[in-house]
Amino acid sequence: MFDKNQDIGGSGTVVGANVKLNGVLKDMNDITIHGTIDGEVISDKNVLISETASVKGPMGAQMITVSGKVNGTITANKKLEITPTGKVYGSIATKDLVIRSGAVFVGKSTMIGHEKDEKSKTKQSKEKTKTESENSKGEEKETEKKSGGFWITNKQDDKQEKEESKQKSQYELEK
Amino acid sequence: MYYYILEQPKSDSSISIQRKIKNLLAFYGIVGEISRVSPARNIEELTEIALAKQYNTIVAVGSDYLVNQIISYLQNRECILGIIPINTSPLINKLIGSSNIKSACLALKERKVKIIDLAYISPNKYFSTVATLSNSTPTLATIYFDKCSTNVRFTNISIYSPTIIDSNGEPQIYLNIQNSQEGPSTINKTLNWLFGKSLKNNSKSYLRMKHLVIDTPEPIPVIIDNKIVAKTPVEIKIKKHALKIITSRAKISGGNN
Repeated sequence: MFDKNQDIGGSGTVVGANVKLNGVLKDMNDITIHGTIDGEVISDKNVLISETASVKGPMGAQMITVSGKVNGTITANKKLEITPTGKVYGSIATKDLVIRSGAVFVGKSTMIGHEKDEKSKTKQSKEKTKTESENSKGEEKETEKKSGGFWITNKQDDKQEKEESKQKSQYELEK
Repeated sequence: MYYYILEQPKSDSSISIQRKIKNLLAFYGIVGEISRVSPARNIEELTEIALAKQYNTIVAVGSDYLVNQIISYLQNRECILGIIPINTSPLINKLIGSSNIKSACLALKERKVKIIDLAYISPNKYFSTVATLSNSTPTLATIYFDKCSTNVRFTNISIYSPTIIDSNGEPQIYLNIQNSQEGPSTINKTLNWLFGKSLKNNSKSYLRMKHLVIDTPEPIPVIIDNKIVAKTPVEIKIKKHALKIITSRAKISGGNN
């Protein structure tokens, strides 16, 4: 019957240990998972995956703590922590990453905020190599002009010389 | 201005409480028409009489059951609800910000009106407190809510109205699922208590949603205020801005002495 002191619980969502959810679980507050989720988990605050929990699907929150098993992408805008009992199979993206000894992580990691630095660095290095290569080509042309000699000559000079020699020979013949 | 609907008294103490309330109403200058629920006139009829006489405020003087019944009859009507609690649950007291008859009467005099959201069991059974489904043995239930579904074994499911849940502005139904046969055993609990440790029960679930459907293999009654109001399968929804009620004004507490 009705108990006047029923437990309303906290402000977030809690999925019990023997509950299996299918679909998209979304909450503006914290989400704590002790059971199984087959789908997406989205929180505007924090997500806690306990030791008994298993999640198959993408997850997104500000701070995520994984002590159970996760198969899917994880996006933690502030911090992601994988505890010694945690297992993550999938890519992760976070600003602050903590992987404790004993944790399992198989996937790709991206540090939010630092990927821009990396992109600008690669862009700078590309531009640098481009300018260097242009400079080196210019230098090669100059060295070709200066060195002269038997083996290396300027093709335009060669042409002029040939024309001059032709003109000379014609002039001598006429004489 | 005020139409008071008093619950049928069940004992002498109830009669004396109702007398005290009448004295308080006279003291605060908010006396109106007073009527009492009886076999001759039920709650619905008294509510219709008040609306026909164009009273702008109907006051429920009694328990959760009276309050929830009047709430259901006031839907889609231009009328404000006042509550003077007698043996009500902490949920109703939290709703109006008063736990005794004196503060409730003062709230009626001050007339701070608040618009609330309500949950209802389709098609028209509104409630401002909690609806429960109980079974002595664990029973399988299929629950669909928002974009999720789950099959779960339960012995008790409690469905709380958005009226009493703080959900950061967005009205939501709050669902509590328990299975008394799961969780830490009595021996574990006792040992942890002896050693002063707290033991968390991870078998309970607390979920929030805007729309809920519960289905069970066999029909299970849904109970509000110790009365059966429906049987599974049930659909529970939210009606936003469903009702205007009178609540207490927030009191400014003094500094520490």
